[in-house]
Amino acid sequence: MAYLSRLPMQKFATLFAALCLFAAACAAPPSVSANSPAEDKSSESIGDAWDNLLKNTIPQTTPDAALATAPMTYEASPAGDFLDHFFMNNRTEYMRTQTYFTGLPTVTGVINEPASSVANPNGIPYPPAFQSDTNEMYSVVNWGTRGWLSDRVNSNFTLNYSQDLTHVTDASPQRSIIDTFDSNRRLELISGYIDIDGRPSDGAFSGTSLRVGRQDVYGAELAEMDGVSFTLNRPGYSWTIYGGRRYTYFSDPAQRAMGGGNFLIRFGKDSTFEYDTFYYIRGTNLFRYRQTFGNAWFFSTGFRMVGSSPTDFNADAIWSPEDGRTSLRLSFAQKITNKDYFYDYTEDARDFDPRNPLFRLNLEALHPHSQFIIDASRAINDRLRLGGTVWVRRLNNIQDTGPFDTSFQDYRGYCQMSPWSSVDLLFTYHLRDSDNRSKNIPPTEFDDLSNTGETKVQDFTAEVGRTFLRGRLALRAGGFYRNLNFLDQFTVITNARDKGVLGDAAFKLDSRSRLYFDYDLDTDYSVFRPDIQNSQTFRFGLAWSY
Amino acid sequence: MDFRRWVIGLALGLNRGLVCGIVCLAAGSVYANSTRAQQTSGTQPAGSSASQAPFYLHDYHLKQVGLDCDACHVAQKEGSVVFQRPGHDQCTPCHDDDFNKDIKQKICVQCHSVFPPTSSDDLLPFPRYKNVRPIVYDFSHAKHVDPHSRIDARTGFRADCAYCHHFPADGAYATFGDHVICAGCHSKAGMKPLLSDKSTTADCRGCHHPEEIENPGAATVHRELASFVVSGKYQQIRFSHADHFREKGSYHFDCTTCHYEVASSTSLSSLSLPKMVDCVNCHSVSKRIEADYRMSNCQVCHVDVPSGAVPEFHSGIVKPPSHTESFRFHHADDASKPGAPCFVCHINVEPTAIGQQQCASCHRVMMPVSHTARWKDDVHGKYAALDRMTCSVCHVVDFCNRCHNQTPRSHLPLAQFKAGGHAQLAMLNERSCFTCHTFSNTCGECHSESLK
Repeated sequence: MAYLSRLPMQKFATLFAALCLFAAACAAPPSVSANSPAEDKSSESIGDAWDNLLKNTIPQTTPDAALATAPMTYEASPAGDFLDHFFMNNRTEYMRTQTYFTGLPTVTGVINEPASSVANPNGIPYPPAFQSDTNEMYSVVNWGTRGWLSDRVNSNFTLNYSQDLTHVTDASPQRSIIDTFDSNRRLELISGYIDIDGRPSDGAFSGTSLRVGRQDVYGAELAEMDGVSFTLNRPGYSWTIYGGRRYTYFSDPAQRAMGGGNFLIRFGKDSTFEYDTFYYIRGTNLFRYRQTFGNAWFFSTGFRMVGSSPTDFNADAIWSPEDGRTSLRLSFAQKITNKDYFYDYTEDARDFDPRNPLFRLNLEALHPHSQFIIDASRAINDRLRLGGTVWVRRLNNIQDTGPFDTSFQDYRGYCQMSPWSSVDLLFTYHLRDSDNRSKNIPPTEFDDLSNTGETKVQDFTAEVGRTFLRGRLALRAGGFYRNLNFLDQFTVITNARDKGVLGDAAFKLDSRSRLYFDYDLDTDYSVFRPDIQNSQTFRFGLAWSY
Repeated sequence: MDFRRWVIGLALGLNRGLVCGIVCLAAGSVYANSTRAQQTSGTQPAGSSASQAPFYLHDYHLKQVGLDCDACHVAQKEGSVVFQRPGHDQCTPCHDDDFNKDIKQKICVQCHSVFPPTSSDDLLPFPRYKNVRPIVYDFSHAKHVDPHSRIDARTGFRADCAYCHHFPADGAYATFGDHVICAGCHSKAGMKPLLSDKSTTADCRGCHHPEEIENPGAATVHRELASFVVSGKYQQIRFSHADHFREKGSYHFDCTTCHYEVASSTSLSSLSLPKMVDCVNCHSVSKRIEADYRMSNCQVCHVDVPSGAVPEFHSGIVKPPSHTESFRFHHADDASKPGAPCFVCHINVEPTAIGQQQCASCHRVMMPVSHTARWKDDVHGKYAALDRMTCSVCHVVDFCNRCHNQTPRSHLPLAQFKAGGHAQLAMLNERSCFTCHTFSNTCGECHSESLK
């Protein structure tokens, strides 16, 4: 048994060792072959040839005027030099959320009345559940340097700050992620790394990049880690290997180490083969082949494995002629097994955080299914574009139908119009129709949710936008409508409605700064929240870059 | 219901068709590559027509007639490595009658653009496909660059680059090396291939492939390149080397700062010229670049942009035409490919050669329009139930648990909720209970097994 439990790790170790050898072989610079005697001689001869050309043979002619151009005068100073290599992008916004109540009790019988020692026949008095408004502040700052002190070195840092400006009660409908874990502010370092890049003249190290610090690496899975990644980019191939320690602000998992590699080979200009591998408790492997045909067709197919289990196959074909007026996408996907992560590859990491009493969401696995998508858009003329998507998924076994997984047909259509210059209109319609949720099949147990879930969802959105001052000022307003049919163990809900209004304005102060204002008014599905009439959000912010 | 069956049937049929298509496309690709060389447009030489077999001038004279190169290509003068354009003098030994008695169109149109020829003014360009096809396809920069990367003190640039590539008066684009340049080394005794006024056919073939001048597909290797590689100029792009040279002292760049792959290029087919993403290092983030010269101002480089400010769809406020509604859901391939221009509008996006590393910049900070005021409190669960994979594009790694592990609003006050307040909620939407709880760890504490 112990042997069996070690086997995947041994396989992984073997695979990783092989990859390292492969990587090392690939990393061998083109000039490695120059170690052979013949190439050494060739290298010397070309060097000698340049010696002769530059010292003796070539007459000292006047250089081209273009080359002899006098450089611009530049007075370097330590501060000025830093500012020349420094960059910063910032987005800071103030957000106010306001909720209006109907006066009805919540679905659990809570009412907005002061608590008293006498039982209230109208419900359970609990005023904190009816907090009407809250104010919050968010800021994202991204800064770093490029080529400062050394043209090989870049740095990049991203800081996310959020703060409640007013106290939010535990039962408030305004509660957000800021208020979790007994905190009302968050300061998160999202990225913080230093790149050391090879120069073109560095021979074996040209096209290389070493990144150290907190970083995201996209591959077979998204790796968020404090660690090191090394990339080599050559005309015919590129690869990245990485490893480090998982970071998270939300929990304290036992397992931290993660690592992997992305390997890509280019076959000419039209095709690539990519292999991505990622290891965090279990290994994930992704193979992908991409091919372009002419200037219009793009084809991509991928195969994914988690551990030793094949989980996904997909193939996409995209037709997109150069004129940009038409696009067509055909996509096929086959879920082969459900032996992968149902949502989050970190779910296997047991959480030691005492503030996390529950392990994970019980969303269950996505079961084997076949899926096909047709997506097309066409610009009828300069003022009208139409498009639509048909997305069909069929579970391979109808018995796999569950509360979060079902066969469905999903239709989406849209129309973009620009009847006048600087004015555009957008209409979208979305319908999802789920199969195999039948009330005729009674639940076998109290916690049997196999027939539970949304049976039909409709969305309709309309927006109108107008720009002024050559695009410096943009105004947009619109509305949306949602309709939901829902089935539960004891209840059938039809035509649960939700609607709202959206609006935003943006003004470019200059090429670096932008003011923006967003507003939305959103009602709720009253059947689930009879106490809430609607909520409004005002968001006002400034985005600027240095 | 029939419609559903029809859609399902269509989907499954297309599934199979697509898989077959994959195989066919792969096979077609191989076939297309093998036959493309035979069908290249513009390879048919002058004088041939669709009904006639194509006539390839160099191939015919080399293989059918057995001429050597020096039969037609002669030096301008003794000792010179500059070869003159072949003229009547070179053709007359064989084609005397064709020039003087029975004038043949097929002969004349090899060099003249009109028939009958009027003067030297109607001559076709020489070399025949100048700036259209490469004349030294297999030229290897890797073999020719100075391994010591020496700098010319007079100009401050790499001496080997400046030796071969010169600049005309406007300094916009560099010229390519010619026989005079090559002769600096290749005219020396013992050099192979030897370049002199007495070069043999074998010497010429050291650099040139004459059979492919009119027929690029003659060899197994498809010797045809993009026009900007052959000409050294990008269409519809405004660029001047001289303007950049003026800033050399301030930015400490050299030829290889932009042409970083040239030194390792072994053939013109692998020669990668600078791409738009390469301009970013200076034109986007360095403050010393004035706003007028930043990449947000398209007309700095793109000559097809009308005068004035950037087009409105590039302004960062109005979406470009490619950003359709479906683009919101299917832009992964576009955004992750190398050189994806997201950074032009999305100022927080960091351009990189590894395209997929750009994704994090947007998905960290951009909130979808669907995330309205009621989204986080109630709406999101119903949409996450439909398509959780869309959520996972942005919300990766235990994001959900952060909220779902705190007591929901509906559970407060907790004592009353446990005492009976939960019943109505459970009957309305039992699924929401089992999103976090199970029967055994929660319900079973009070409710008997008979409830099951």
